[in-house]
Amino acid sequence: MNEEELTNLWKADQTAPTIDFAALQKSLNIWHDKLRRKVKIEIVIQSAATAISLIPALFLPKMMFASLFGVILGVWYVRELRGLYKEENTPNYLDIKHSLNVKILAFKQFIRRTRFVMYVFSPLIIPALFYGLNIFNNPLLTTTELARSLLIFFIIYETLTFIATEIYFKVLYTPALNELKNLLRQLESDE
Amino acid sequence: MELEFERIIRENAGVLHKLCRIYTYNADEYEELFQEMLVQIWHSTKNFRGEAKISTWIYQICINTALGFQAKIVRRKNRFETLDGKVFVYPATDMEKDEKLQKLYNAIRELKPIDRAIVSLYLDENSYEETANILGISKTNVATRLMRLKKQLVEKLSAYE
Repeated sequence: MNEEELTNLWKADQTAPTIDFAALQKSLNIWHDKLRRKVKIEIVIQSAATAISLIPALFLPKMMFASLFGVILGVWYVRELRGLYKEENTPNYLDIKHSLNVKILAFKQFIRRTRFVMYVFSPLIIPALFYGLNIFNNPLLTTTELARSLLIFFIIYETLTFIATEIYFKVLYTPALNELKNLLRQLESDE
Repeated sequence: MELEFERIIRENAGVLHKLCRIYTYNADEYEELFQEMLVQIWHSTKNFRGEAKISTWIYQICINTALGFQAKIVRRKNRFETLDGKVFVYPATDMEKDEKLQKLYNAIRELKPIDRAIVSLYLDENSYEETANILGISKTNVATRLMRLKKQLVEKLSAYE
């Protein structure tokens, strides 16, 4: 087969799926409504989660900070995850190179921000829990012992968070990021 | 917008179909990618300002979506948002013609994802300049790669015969 036959064969393929435009429009409207409904549901779930997480604070008022902290982390993560796939953040109507770059950047920023929050910000939940459980005011603990136990808890927390976060990225996001980088490399290879 | 969207899809259904065939390996994947392309075009219609040719814009959306499908982003995204119901019927095939076509599609599917896009743009008779605009690379790059890809494709097809 030569080049001309190849082009002719391709052009001769005039097949295309028969689209039911009424059903498509209905599905798209449902999809759009579903998106809007999801945002509302998300707000309700977040409000409910906030209310539930504040229940311990009713019995242990000092737990308020730790509870709120947990809620803030949860809300932030859900929003971040939704933002990663939002059309506005990863538009498809750009040229392929530009669009791949935007997608790679969105993935990198998501990973970078999640790492920062998990490794730098989230460990603050430990002093918040210490405060909530009244450990700072425990007369049986000296300042040195308190500092040592805080440090130990920090180390354990950081280690477990590091392992869990990195496994999570490796399984769910690194393959997609690597594939995008690979596609960009393919695109630029002969430049 | 609905009529405009319908017109765009009617005029370009063949492009969507061919791109879906070269980026998927079974009917389920085809359906998923085709529906995602429809959603993306519908979603992007409001962003189309007529600065580029409509065909260029369609190719950009569809190839980007197909590459996102390749990187498994589409499936992950669809955890959040997916289209309900069946909105299209796969075309009936002409067996004799389809055997030759199947070989052509198989040969293209063996290429790297970016190369598949370049080949389909070439076979749809887009100029080097249009292809370069769609991909965001230089005309020279398109020309160099096409020379290699055409040879590769002809060799693959000869091997099938």
